[in-house]
Amino acid sequence: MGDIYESGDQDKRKPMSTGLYISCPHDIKSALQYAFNFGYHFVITQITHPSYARDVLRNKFTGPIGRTDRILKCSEWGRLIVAELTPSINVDSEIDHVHLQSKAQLLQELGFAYHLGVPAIQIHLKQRNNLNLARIIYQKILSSYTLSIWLTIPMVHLSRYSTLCGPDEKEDTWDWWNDFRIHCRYEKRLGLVLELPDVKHIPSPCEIDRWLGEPVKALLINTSLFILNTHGKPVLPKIHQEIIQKFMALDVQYIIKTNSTGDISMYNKYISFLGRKLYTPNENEAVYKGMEDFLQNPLQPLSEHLDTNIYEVFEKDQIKYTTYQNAIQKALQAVPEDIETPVLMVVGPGRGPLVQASLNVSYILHRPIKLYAIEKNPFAVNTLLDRVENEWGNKVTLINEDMRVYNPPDKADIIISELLGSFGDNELSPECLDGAQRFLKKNGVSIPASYTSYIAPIQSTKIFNEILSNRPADKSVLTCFETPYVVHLVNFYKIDEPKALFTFSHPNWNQYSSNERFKRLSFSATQDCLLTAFVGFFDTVLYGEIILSTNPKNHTENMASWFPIIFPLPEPMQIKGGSTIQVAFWRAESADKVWYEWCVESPMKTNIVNPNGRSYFITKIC
Amino acid sequence: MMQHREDDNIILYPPNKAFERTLNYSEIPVLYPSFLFLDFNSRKEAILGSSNVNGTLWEGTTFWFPSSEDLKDLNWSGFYIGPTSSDAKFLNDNGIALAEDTGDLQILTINEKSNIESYIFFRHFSRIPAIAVWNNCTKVLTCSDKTIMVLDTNASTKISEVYANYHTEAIYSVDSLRCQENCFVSCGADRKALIWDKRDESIASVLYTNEFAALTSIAWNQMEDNYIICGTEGGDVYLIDKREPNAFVDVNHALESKIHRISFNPNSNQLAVCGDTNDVIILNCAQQTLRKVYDNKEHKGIVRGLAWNEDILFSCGFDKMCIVIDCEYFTKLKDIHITLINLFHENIQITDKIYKL
Repeated sequence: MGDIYESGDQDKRKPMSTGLYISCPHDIKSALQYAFNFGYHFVITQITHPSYARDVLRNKFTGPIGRTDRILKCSEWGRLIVAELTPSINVDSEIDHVHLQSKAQLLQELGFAYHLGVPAIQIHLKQRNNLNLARIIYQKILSSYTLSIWLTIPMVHLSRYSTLCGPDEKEDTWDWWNDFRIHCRYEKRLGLVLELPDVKHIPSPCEIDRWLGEPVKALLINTSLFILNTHGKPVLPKIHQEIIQKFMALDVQYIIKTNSTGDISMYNKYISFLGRKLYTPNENEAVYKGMEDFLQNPLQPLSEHLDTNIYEVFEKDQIKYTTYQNAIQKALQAVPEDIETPVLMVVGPGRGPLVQASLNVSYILHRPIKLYAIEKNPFAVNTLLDRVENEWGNKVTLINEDMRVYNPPDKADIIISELLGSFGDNELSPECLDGAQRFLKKNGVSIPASYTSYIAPIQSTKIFNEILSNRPADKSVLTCFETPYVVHLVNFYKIDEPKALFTFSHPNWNQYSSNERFKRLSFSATQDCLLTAFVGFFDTVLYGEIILSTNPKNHTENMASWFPIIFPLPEPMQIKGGSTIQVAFWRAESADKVWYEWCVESPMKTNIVNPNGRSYFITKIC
Repeated sequence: MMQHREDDNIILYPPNKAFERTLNYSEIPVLYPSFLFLDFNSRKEAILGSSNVNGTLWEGTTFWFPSSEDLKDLNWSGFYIGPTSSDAKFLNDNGIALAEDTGDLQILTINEKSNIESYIFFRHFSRIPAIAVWNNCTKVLTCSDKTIMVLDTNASTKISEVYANYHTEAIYSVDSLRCQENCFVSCGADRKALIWDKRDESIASVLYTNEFAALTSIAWNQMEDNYIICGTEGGDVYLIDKREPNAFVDVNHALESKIHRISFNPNSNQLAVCGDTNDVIILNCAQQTLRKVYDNKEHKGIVRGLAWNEDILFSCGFDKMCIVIDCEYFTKLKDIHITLINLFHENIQITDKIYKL
């Protein structure tokens, strides 16, 4: 295909799974072969004929339902066929006989689909009220049904631009979807198939962003959207490419619906080509791969020794340590010249990257330093001992103790640490550095000098479901929802921009200050959405103007460290466009632990989440 | 491995293996039990659509009958085999427009040897549930999903008129004003009936919106073209006057099921209605009312196709039957019945008066 669709790196491509919609094929085996011959990966088609009117309700139905299951192997039904249910089924009709007939027919078709073992069922939503449909589907999902439900809706409903629809008839299909999934309690087996609109009716960027926060399984692309390029080959307009590029992050599949009678492999090949052309992985994509929307418990480095895997992941981040080294260099340059041998202390050095950075700076500036490395983890100390002896020529004084109790012979000009978690202070950097500043000179500096956490409201039923479905046997559901998680967020919608929450500065010589915090923040929702959690970021001033940031607004370019942190809500909250989300956040502490509590005050009040750190806390005890 | 035992001619096949069957279209036409449509041309020849909609191979056969008698006896003279199909209309005496469920509109010709062949097809994005044609016109009106198309079967290129942004949900039915090729009506799951006139600046306008139910069938009264009939998934039939849109003139609850097809008698104000039952209902819409004239329950399965040959109605359905209903005869019977009832009532009143005296 390189001769047709130029450019794109063969090695850097997103695998694009493409299905073909085939209406009422004569025989399903040949239809499948037809799709394969043109390079498609699966087929969407009816399993019962849409013209097959039958009275399933009144008479005991004994006739045939559809094709024999023996026409395909189980592996073919189970991997290659998405079953489209009869679109005229209307279980939400207010007319009794329509409702009852439709219900009987739906149950029969669902049962047949389950019998065939298809991986997914496609159901077209035709109206906002789908309560009965949702109820039946939810019942089936909660029983033994293992298949997925693909609800199919247009990304933009035609009523929004049809000249025949009045203002009171305009529909937002997101509302249809939202109502449906609320009825099914955000069930994770409910997915979306979105019909791509034509170029004249592309939704606003924020609407697209909201769809990106939904469990979109596939984009339905009608080939009438294609235009011919200068070579006479079908291509999608740029605006559609941009949409596809956004959805590529969600690993959606693509369904081609065509009226072409010619070589339909062109569409499949083009989608595959877009997987190369539009895929622009950042430098850290390989590091992140497989971690998308995967929940991780925040580290507890004080109470649990980090293992070698974690240290190795940390050390992969070139940007972070280069920035640290720059900060150390600036700080050392600022140490008065009359101090002949400045004292630097790396507290919590792990396997020693900041020790190396300090030595590098000393070498670069031709300025001798006295360097301490204070590490409590005996296994990391094992590594450090080796490095002291074999790499650092015994120029480093290694102390195997907790920085909060160690009493060094010298006071430091610079204390260097990398104790920051995804939320800045959530790995007890404030407590540790407050303890360590005893051995900092009064005019000494801390690297980092300060750090600030940020939060933003988000919509992500994916994360909601991940929390729900990953409940350990020994924990309650509530406990799981009162726990923050570190996540490489992909399938989410940011309702508003992050705002600053808590700031900590070091050194902090105010003896009356506390590391407890409380703050209220207000956010605006520009459109109807579902609040499922708050996402947390941080930035830190290492020294002077040298900063590191995970805040998307000014994220340090190509820095791999620190995924965002999620503070979930036990129950998702419906938010109307234009409303204000007010949240209260606490950082609380006791003698032995630190924890966060959070509570939504507006537009609806929730209970305080994680009171007294009952579900999640960070222990101060080693 | 299949074995043939010579002694008794029994074919043995491994019990645990699926029988390897041929997946090709039939070579000999099969009269499947599901009849989906009927139509007559001016020579009183007929076509009948029969499809396998509940088996493994979804095949359809369109049969051609040289006369209505042959149709009654299912004594076909020509056939066309393809995918299942939902509707077909005679374009002219020798041409047929066939709506296949694969999305192809096949244009068929019947040659002198009664062979039916396809000479052009127009592919749609999905199945075509209904089509309509005009008198002395080579154009075909189709609907597929939310799109209406007018296809010129005579054009050298397959350029067609596409109307995609009007109905907001799937379109179930279309009909034309046969004498005026710019005019047609449509209805669908968006509960709207639209009236179209290609000469107007606003090509389509809302004729009627039902509050509760999808509109599943629509038919234009060719005798009095101010009137259009549409049926709902609830079984109601609405009489609509195009001069007073967004309201209905009269309604009749014809069936306790979805209305599937409505077909006007081209020579009267009578219309036939069928749905997901075995009933064929004849209504009269004269004098701005919808009056049930006759209800036929001869079919043993769901009725799908309705077509008038002069004043004789033909119906077909999922019982492999084609039934003939002489409406004139039944209308007369009905009139006699009404007269008798009236006489009976008058008689009672007279008796009453005598008694009071």
